[in-house]
Amino acid sequence: MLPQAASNFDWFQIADHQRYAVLRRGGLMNLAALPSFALVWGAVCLLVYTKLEHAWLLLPATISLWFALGLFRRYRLIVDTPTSSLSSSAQGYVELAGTVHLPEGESYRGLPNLPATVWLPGYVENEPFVLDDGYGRCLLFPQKAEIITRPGNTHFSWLHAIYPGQTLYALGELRTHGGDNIRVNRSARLVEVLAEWKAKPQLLLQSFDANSNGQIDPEEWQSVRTAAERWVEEDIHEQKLAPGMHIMDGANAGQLFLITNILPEVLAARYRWASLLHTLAWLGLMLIVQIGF
Amino acid sequence: MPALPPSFAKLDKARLTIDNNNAMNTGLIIFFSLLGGLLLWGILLYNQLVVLKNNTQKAWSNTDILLKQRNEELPKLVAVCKEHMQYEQETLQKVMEARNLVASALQSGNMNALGAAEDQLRIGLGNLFAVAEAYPELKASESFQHLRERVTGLEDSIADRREFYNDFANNNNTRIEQFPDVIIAKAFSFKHFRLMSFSVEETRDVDVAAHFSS
Repeated sequence: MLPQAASNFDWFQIADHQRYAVLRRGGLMNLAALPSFALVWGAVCLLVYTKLEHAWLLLPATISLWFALGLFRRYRLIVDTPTSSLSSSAQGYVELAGTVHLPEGESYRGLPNLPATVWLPGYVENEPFVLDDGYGRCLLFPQKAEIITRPGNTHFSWLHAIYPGQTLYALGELRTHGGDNIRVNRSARLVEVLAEWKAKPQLLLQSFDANSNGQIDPEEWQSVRTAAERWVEEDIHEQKLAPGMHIMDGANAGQLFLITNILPEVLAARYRWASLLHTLAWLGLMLIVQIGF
Repeated sequence: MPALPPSFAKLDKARLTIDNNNAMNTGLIIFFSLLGGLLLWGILLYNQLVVLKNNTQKAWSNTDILLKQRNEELPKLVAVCKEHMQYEQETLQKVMEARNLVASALQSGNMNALGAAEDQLRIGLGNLFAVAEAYPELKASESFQHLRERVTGLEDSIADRREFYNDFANNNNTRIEQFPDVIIAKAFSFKHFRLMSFSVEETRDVDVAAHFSS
C-alpha cells in the first residue's frame, strides 16, 4: 500500500518523506560524514562557545570523538575487506561488487510515474534484490543494512534510490546454501536414512529380505547399511553439484552490513576525511576549553 | 593605587583560589579526556586487528574446505582412469602421491609444503588429462567426464579463494607493520599470515609449441 503522497504525485511530499528515511537507513555516522554536516557541526560548536561556559565545549568534543572513531572503523572495514567473486563464493565477511537487478519474475518496483527502482527509501525498503557480479547472483536482504545512495542518473536527481542496472557494492556476511559449501555429518545422515527406511518395514522386506523369511536377518541388515551408505554418498554428491544459493542478510557483531551505489574508494575517502576532521574538532575543542580564548 | 580594605582583600584572595581550582579541574578533565580518547582509539585498533585476523582465518578455511573436497574426488578419478589406462601407472601414481602430500601439508598446516604439493598436483593432473586424450574409451566414459568437470571446477574455485585469502592475509600483514597498529600488534603478538604463493612453473606462460614438438 503506497502512502497517499505517492498516488497524488506530490513531489515535495515524496522528497520530504524520503529525507527522514534516508537518514534512518543511512544512520548517524553517514550523516556525520557529509560535507554539509561539517558546517552544521561548526555552527553548533560556535553557538555553544558564544552562549555557554567554555567547559560545555567538552560535550561536542566528546561527540566528535565518537564520530571520529565510528567513521574510522567504517573506513578500515571498507579498505581491509577484499572483493570476493561469486564464482567461488568464499563464505564469511566479504565485499561484493556487481550490478543490481530486480528478483526474477518482478519487472517493476517503486512509485507510479517514476523510473523502476530496486530500493526506494520511505517506500520500498525491505524487499530483497539481486546483485550480479558476472560470475553469480546473490540475493541481498536489506532489512538490517546501512544503505547509502548517490543521486540517480535519471532526471529525478533529487530522488534517493537504487535503480536496476546500477553498480552496487555490498559489505556483509555471505552465506551459500548448497553447492560446494555444504558440510554434512555423514554418520548422522546415515542414521536418519536408516530410521526413514525402518519406518517403512514392508518396503525394506521387499528390497532386502533375500531368503524371504519375513524378517531382516543380521546378514541382510549389513546389505541394508551398505545400500544406505551408498545412498547417502550419492545424495551428498548431488547436493554438492547443485548450484548454491548465495544470500547476504547481515553481518556478525562488530562488523558492518553496508549496501551502497557509491564507489567504495569514494566512500572510504569520505569516511577517512570525515574521521580526520572530527578528530581535529575533538582536539581543537579541548584546546579551546583548556586555553579559553 | 589605593590599598583595598582588609575585607575586600580577603574576598579577592578567595576568588583567585576558586579560579585556580577551576583551572586545575578543567585541566584534569581535559587530561583524562585525552587519555580516554587515546584508550578508545587503542581499543578500536585492537578490535579491528582481531576482526582482520578472524576474517583471514575464515578465508583460509574457505580454501581448505575446497582442497579437501578435491582430495576426496581424486581417488575416484584415478580409479576410473585405472580401468582404461593400463600403461600410464606412473602418471596415476604421481597424482596420488601429490594428493597425499597435499593432505599431509593441510593436516600439519605447513604452507610452504602445501604450495609445493599443490604445484606437483597441478602438474600431475595436467599430465593425466593430457594423456587421457589418447584413450577414446576413457574420454567417452560418463564417470570420467563428470569427475573431470568436477575437479576442474574445484580447481578454479580454489584459485579464486586462494586469491581472496591472499588479499586478506596481505591486508593483515600490512596493517600489523603500519604505525600506529604496529604498537598494538607487537603488544598483543598479532602474527603474519603466510601467503599461498604460485610457483614460477605455474605462473610462467605456456609454451604450446614446445608441447607439440615433444
